[in-house]
Amino acid sequence: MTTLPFDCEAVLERLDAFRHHELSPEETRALERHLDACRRCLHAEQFERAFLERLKAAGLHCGCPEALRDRIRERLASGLPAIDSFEFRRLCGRFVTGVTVVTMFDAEDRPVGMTANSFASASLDPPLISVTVDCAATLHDVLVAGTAFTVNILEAKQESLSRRFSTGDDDRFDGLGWQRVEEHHLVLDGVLAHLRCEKVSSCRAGDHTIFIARVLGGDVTEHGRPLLYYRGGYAEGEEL
Amino acid sequence: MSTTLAPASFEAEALPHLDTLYRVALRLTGDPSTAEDLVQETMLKALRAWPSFLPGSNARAWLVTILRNQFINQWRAHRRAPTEVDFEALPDLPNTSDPDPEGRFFRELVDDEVLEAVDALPAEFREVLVLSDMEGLPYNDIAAALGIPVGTVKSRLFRARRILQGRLRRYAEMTGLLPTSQAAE
Repeated sequence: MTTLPFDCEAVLERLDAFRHHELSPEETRALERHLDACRRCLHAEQFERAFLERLKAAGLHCGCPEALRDRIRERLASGLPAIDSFEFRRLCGRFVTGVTVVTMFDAEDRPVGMTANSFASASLDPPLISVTVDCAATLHDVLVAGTAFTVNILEAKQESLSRRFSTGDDDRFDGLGWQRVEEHHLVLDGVLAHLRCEKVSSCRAGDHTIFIARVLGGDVTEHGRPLLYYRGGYAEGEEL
Repeated sequence: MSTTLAPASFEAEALPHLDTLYRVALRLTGDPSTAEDLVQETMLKALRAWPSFLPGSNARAWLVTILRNQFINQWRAHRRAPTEVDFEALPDLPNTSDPDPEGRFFRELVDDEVLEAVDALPAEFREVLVLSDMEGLPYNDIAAALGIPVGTVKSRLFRARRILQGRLRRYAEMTGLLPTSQAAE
């Protein structure tokens, strides 16, 4: 069973187990005898040991910052949401939506707009829709203050438009084609359809507000393909 | 939204491993603030999964597994680009004609020099080396955490150590801690 005496190769192969005290007593003794007699293997053992000790010491150079430790304790003490935001996005991301840009004029008659895929039809009679908007969005306060807005449903090639209206750019309408319709509504060029809406109520939902609006009218393009949003990315739908 | 309170057993088992989790996160991400986010997400995920933790099993290894999965899922896109390794260039073990065959120069290096060399290792070598040689996890736990066989842990570790030793030796030579063993590169 034992393979005494070890040659150099066998010793080098077993140094790791030797350091972890995993060798049998016989093997340990044999290895120690070899190290006593063989300078090269002894040096290899010392070299590796010095390296590992240095590495272990460097590993202890820092611990968890106190502020993080406190934050985690606090989080644990207050309980945690049943799912985290990453998981929530992952789950909701499996539901495919179209993409809209909600537009309106603010109190000073300046155009305001924001990309929203939270648009949904809500009631047939009366014809109501809902759109849910982040309380931190510029459009949110304009919607709270105003009544007339327009939902523009984007066409497959309008991904850049969607990005333009979802990033921090303050001049989102710069160089863009749009028309004023029925005095209070702003319709973007090239969209699949638009719905002219009049806010009737709103309801706070966590960090968003759900706005409910009556549909006053609209227009639709007969041919075209929809822009889709799925798993956090864009796709183009087929013309049906 | 429904909430679950942290069971006392979770705090008792998990909180003592925050140092390990943070250090591993730091070596994986290379960035303190990303590491903090990763540790926090890991703890929340672990709390959620706490009912599935086997009492009496190794909480540290279990937490490291969650942290590493979270890192792969969430931060893979930001993962540092792997460093090219010349697989032929593993240095030999020291021989008796070396100026410092016992590796005394390792002690002269400062933490930042060692850590910088660790961070420069390719990710799959870096993670086994950090878990094994810096945090002291057993091979079995590392294999389970990374989802690879124990033999692979050992072979990666072997290579990781050789690459790192070679780099630290070259560094020691460059900074004059060791006389240059070969013609200057």
